[in-house]
Amino acid sequence: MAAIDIQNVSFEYEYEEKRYLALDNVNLKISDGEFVCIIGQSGCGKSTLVTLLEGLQFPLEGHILIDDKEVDGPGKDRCIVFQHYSLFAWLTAKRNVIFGLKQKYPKAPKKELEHIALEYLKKVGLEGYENKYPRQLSGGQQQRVAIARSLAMDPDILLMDEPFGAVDTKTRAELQDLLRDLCSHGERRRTVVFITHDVDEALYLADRIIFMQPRRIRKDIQTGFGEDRQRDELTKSTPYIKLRSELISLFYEKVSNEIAEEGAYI
Amino acid sequence: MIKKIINLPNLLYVAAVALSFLKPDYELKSPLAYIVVLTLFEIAHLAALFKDNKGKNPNDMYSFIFGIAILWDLEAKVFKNLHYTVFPPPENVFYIFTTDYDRMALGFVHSMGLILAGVGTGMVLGVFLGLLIGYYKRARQSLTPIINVIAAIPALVYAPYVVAVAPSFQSASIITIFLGIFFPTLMSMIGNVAAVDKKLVDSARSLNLNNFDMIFKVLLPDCAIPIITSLRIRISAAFMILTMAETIGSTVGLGYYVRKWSSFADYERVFAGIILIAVVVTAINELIKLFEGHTMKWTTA
Repeated sequence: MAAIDIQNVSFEYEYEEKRYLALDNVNLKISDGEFVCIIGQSGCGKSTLVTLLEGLQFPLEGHILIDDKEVDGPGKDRCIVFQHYSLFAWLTAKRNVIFGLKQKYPKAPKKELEHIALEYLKKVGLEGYENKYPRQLSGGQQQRVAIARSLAMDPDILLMDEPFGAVDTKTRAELQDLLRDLCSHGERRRTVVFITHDVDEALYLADRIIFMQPRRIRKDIQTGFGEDRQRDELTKSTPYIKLRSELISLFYEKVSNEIAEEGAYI
Repeated sequence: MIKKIINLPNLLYVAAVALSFLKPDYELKSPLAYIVVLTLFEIAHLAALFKDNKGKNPNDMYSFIFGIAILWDLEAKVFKNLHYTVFPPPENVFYIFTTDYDRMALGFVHSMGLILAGVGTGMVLGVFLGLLIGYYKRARQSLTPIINVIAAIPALVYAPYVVAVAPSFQSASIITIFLGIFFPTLMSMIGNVAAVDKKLVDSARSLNLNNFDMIFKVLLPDCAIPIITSLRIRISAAFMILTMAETIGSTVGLGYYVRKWSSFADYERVFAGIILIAVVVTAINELIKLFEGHTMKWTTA
């Protein structure tokens, strides 16, 4: 089980020999089993935050603790799903899942890993597609394989960086339902940190929404929609509509501030 | 059906065969070998006609082939702008294959051995070191400029030196081919690794891969397409280096065959040797394509 504790984290990245501050003194605690969506405009540092959580990069200042242990690299308790390029093009769907499993259980017999792989591919609705290569699958199916690969490794924490950003609306809704089924209720609750810039996606999925403005957290909202939310009812409910307009206005507030700032230079 | 029998390439084929019986005022060898070659092309043409070609018309290519054969024959036997010893007729050139096949086969085996040894070691080491250097940033940044300079030197330049220094001609050829293959492969491999999508590398890292798996199970297959594509270019380059090396210090081989008979002004054999090299390179390329289709199903499936 895993709780995340982000303490005073700052991060800079280098681009063409200049340094840019991507995160400035960010503090965030995420408790075990929570489904957190981080939203904000492009370049606000949300992807950076997730790569720090995964241990692909390290904070310049501050600490990231998972169960009171400092993150020192990718760990077996965490998995990340990106928008693109998560799968290995030269492996079939099944072998992609097995490839991940092998890293986690290097000594397990091949038969057993294959069995787990097929089970998870079935869970994400890809029965019959086991032997297809990624390029033979649609974008949505590829993301299903990526999710199956991550979940098959049974991580405590699932990190998702705009995983449904490149699929069509209908597939996106299906994948959202699938993710909720597999992570938010049922036998295995996981901590999920999910990045999106889609307000409706965040509202439907999250227990808690973190709104980021560039470099820092602007607002921390508990949605309180409950575990058995239904999409149709939810989107018509008053709390949903209220929260939605609040988030939208946060996006616009940002824009109008920028316009005001630009105006100040003239 | 009529179109499949009476068409330009078929008419040209008949004309080319008929023309092969025309006797010039010098000695014409038996045209049989030449007619066999023409007929092989004609069979390939007919096979292409009766196969589904998906909108491609095979006629144009075969018209060119038979057209060139006719022009070659006419020039050598009728127009005679060049003397027939300098520009021999195709009948005499293809006749060489029926008399010289043992020497050619020996040269082929010998040259292929050197090419396989040189290209094999050059490619394997180049790919392997390229993966390592490309993966480790510090090695990449410090070594790339040096490798780029060395790779820019054409291997032909040091062929005479290597031939002079190496203990035998075989080892000299292998070393020269190796140098000509290794450095360009290394250079492009470092670039390929650096160009692997960062998201893919991050995904792989998030699966807790060790460095060995990262390099050989992720980076290597991800670079498979450019490696195999470059293999074809490398084989042609190796032939160039080999023929050059063979012209300096060999007594056997495909390049040596061409060089030796040019110094004897036996241009029939020179023509035959050049055609043989073209056939061998084409055959190797076809083999690579077959291998590519077999191992890279995931790019086309």
